[in-house]
Amino acid sequence: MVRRVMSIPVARWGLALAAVAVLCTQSDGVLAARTARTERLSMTAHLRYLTAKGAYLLEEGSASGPLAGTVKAHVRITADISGSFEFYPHDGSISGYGSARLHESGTYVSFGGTVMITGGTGRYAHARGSGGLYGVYNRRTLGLTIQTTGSLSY
Amino acid sequence: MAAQAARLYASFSPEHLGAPATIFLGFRISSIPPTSQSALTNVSVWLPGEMGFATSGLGLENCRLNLLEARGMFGCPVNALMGRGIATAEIPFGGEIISESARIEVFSAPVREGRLALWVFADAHTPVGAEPIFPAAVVSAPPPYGEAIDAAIPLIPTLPGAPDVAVTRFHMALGTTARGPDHFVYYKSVRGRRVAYAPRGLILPPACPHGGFPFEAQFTFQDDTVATARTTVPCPRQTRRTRR
Repeated sequence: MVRRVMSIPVARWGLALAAVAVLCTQSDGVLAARTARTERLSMTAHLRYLTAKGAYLLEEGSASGPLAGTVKAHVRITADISGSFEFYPHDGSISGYGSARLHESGTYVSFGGTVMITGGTGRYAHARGSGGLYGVYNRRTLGLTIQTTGSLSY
Repeated sequence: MAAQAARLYASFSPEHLGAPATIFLGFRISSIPPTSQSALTNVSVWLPGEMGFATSGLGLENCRLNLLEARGMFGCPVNALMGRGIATAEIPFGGEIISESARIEVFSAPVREGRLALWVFADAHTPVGAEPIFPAAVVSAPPPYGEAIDAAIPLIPTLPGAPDVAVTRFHMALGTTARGPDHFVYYKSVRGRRVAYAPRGLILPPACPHGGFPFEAQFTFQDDTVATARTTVPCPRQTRRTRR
C-alpha cells in the first residue's frame, strides 16, 4: 500500500519534469527566434598596412557603422583583389571574405565587388550575410579604405 | 613554315628574400632557318607566385595614351614609369638583315577591363624611325606563377612587299636601378617640397620556392607559330645555407 501510494507521485513528477523539459526546449526555440537579429552591413573600415608577403598584405584598423570594432584583413592584390577578414565588434567576432575587380589605378586603386559573411564567435557565432564591397587602395602607403553594403544576420 | 625558338632570362637585384627588388627580364628569339624570322605579335611573361605589382610602389600615376602619342615619353608623369629596357629587331633591307635597337619605356596605364594596364613605348630611330606604343596588361597566371605581363605587339611594316619588323632580342628592368640607363626616380611632396626617391620595386616572397623562382614566357608570331621558354632564378645563397 505504502509502496503503491509513493509510486504514483514519483510517476507524476516524472511526467511533470518531462513536460517542463519539452516546454523548455520549445521556449529555447522561441527565445532563439526572438534574439536572431539582422543588421545592415553598411560599414566603413580604414585599414593600415602591417606587413606584406609578396602580393599578400596584412592590414589592421577600425570599422564604423551599425557594428563598430577593430578589423584584421589578409588581402591579396594582383590582377584583382581578394581576401579574408576578421571583424571584432563587442561580444564576439565576425569572419568572411571578399573579392573585387579594379576600377582605376594610379596612387589610389579603386575597386568594387562582393563580400560574404561566413561565421563568427560569441554573439555572432551564427553570423551569415552578403553584400557589396567598394574601396580604395593607396599604393603609396599600402592602406585600404573599404565600404560594405548588404545585410548581416546573427 | 619556319620554326621559332625562344630563350628567356631573368634575375633579381638585390637578391634579398622579403625585400623589394628590381627584376631583369630578357628574351632572345631565333628562327630556323635563320633568315626566316617571323614578326612577334604577342608575348606573355609569367612571374613567380607571391610577387605583386600592386605592392611594388611602381606606377603611382597613369600615363594617358593621347599624351604619350603626342609628346612621347615626356608626355607621361615621372611617377608612371615602371621600367626601362632595349629591344632589338631584325629588318630586311635590300636583301640584307639589319639590326635596329629601340629604347623601351614601360608606363602605368588606366585600368582596362578590370586589370592593371601598361603602355610599352619604343623609341627607334634608324634605319626605321618609329615610336610604336603597345598595350600590356597584368593578368593572373596559374601556379606556380602569380601574375603575368601580357603584351600585344603591333606589326611594324618596312618596305612594300618585305616582311614586317621582327623583334629578336629584348631586355628590361622592371623597377629602377642604382645607376645606369635604367635608373629613374619618383617624386613625392614632403611639407610642400618635391622630394626625389627610388620607388620600392616588386617585393620578393619571404621564402624561396623549391628549385628557385620560376619564370615562363609564351611567344606568338605572325605566322601563327608559338614558342615557350622557361627559366629559373636560383634561391639566394643565404637562404640555402639557412635551410640546411
